[in-house]
Amino acid sequence: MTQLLFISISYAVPLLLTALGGMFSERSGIVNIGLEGMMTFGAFVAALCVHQFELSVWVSLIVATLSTGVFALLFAFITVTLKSDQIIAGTALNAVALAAGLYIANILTGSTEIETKATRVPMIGEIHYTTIISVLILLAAWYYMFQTVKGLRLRSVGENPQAADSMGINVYRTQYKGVIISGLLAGLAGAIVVTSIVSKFDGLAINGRGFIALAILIFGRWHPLGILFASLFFAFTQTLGVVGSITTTHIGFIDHFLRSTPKEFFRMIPYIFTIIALIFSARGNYAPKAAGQPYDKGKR
Amino acid sequence: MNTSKGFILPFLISVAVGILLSMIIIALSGYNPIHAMTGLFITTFTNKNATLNMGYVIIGMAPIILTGLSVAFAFKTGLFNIGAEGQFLMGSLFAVSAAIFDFGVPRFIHVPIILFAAFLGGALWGLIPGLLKAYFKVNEVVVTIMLNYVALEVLKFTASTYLTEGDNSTSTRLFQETSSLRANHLVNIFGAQSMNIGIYVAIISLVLFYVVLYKTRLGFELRAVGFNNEAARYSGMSVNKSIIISMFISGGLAGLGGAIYFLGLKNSMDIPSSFINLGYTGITIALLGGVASTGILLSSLLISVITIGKANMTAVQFSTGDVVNLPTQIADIMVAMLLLVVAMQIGYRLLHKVQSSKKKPIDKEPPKQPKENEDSTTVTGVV
Repeated sequence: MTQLLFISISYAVPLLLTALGGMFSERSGIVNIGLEGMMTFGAFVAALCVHQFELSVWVSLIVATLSTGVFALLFAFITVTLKSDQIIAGTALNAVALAAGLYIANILTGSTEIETKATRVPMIGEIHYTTIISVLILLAAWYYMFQTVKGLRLRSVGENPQAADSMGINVYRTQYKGVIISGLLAGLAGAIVVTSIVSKFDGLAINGRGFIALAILIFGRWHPLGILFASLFFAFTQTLGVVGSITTTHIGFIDHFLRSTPKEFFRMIPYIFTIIALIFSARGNYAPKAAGQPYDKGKR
Repeated sequence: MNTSKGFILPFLISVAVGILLSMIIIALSGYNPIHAMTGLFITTFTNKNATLNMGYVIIGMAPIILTGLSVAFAFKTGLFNIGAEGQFLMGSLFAVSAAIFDFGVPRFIHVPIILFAAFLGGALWGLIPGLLKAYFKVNEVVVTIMLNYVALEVLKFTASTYLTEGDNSTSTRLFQETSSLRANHLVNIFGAQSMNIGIYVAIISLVLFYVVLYKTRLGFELRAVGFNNEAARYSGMSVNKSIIISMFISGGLAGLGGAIYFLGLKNSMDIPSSFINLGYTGITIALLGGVASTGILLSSLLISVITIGKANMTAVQFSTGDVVNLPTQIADIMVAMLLLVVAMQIGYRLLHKVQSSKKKPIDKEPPKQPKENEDSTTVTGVV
């Protein structure tokens, strides 16, 4: 049972970080479907660093984080500067990240799989160091977003870019910042996935984690605290989907439930819950109002 | 109005830029891009397997035409259906169930039953985001993404629990003989044993897509809602009804694609462990094709050629004595580049630049929206 909890926590970390990244992007008005691709990119770079260049795990995490931040510039350029549709741009980013990862992996290593077994994030007891770091990032994100003037400005851009612009806030720069932060965090998250959860980068390393993070962002109502709880909850169901049928709690009815419920059911939970949450919150005021609409200065 | 005019120039520009980007990537990774492209587009259709390859291109086109139509149909009503993948899987689940079940009917009845089941499966799955959008104002983008994953799990569970012979089998029971989609006359022409009626289903759907959208009252209403739903509402059209119908049909088209894909190639279904990705490819096809029927046909042809001909990009490398193979993932790179180009709207941007530079410099009037946008909707116009 405690094992289950620790696995859940390690599953929650990348989801939490990516969803926090998504919060920065969406709070600045850019809907980020490309989180999946950003995670994939981070995972790929990290795997390449540890396997091909034999860098230490910390250096690899930093390199992956920064390079995904640069990769996110592409998304920012398309959505902010070119003002293209954000959903299409995100879909394209996902496709580009996965194709590029597998292609470059194949060119450099001769295989589309990059082993990362040898280099793992060190642990204190049952907790990864990265878990502690991500809690610090969570606190920092909350502080920045809700306790600083810069955070207030970023949020105002996502709510009403026209008003923000008229108050002298540089909307485009703020949105670039939001998207780049989302890239940094999603890249770190992807890197953590391949160095603490799965043992190789391949086409299935991220496998929808970016979309679950998107779900968490919505389920957690674009707020760090909500995101924290949602990611723990979704990670728990994800864990049950993987190891639920071999977990023993010694509590009769729970064990029976775990044995008799198909693992596919647990895997569906995050998605179904998110849809339900969307139904209840569709008329609410949780989503940043201007998210999804490209800001055009000329139309002020 | 003619739909084939508005998209063709942006389509050609996008394809050219997409291929150029891919060639740069090939060159950067140390291969000869000219050889790769001649291998892809020429060797594929001139070597000893040429007719066979054409057959495979046709086989590959059918499901992606259908998923492309699915995305495009919803797009015309202003809906972004990222859920074609899930609807594709649900359609295939229904179709496979219908193909396994022994109705005791001859082939010419069994096959329509299967196609109907596939359409229904996809349509019902598409109906969910349609209803949620219409009655709860829930954004269809997120719902359809989530439903893709739910569909995958539903398919995995249902197929492995109810449609397999043994416990640990990874493929379903054999389909009934009467469910075969095989098209013998096509097999005779192209020699590929898996030639099937899918391409006919796709072409008929393509024609119906055009007819329904442009020649019927329903299609007019759907497009009106997509073009400006406030105006449509004001003129007495039911926006909610349009959204629901559009998602239903859109889902059904993707479902048909699933049936063609799984029933056309084998006589049992290998239960997928992850996405087939043809639903996602539908997004690329629809957008690259300018959401117009002819455009969808052309872009699905292009993407099918890339998918089938990718092996010849490496074959040419062999002929030059280069031992290292160009990874076949270059096909994914090319498709991704095309989508990236479409996302950046490079086709429309370049065209717009050319058009506005033709005007006299004193003409300070803001450039008018090109008229053809009404039909081949620009990407930002609708979403």
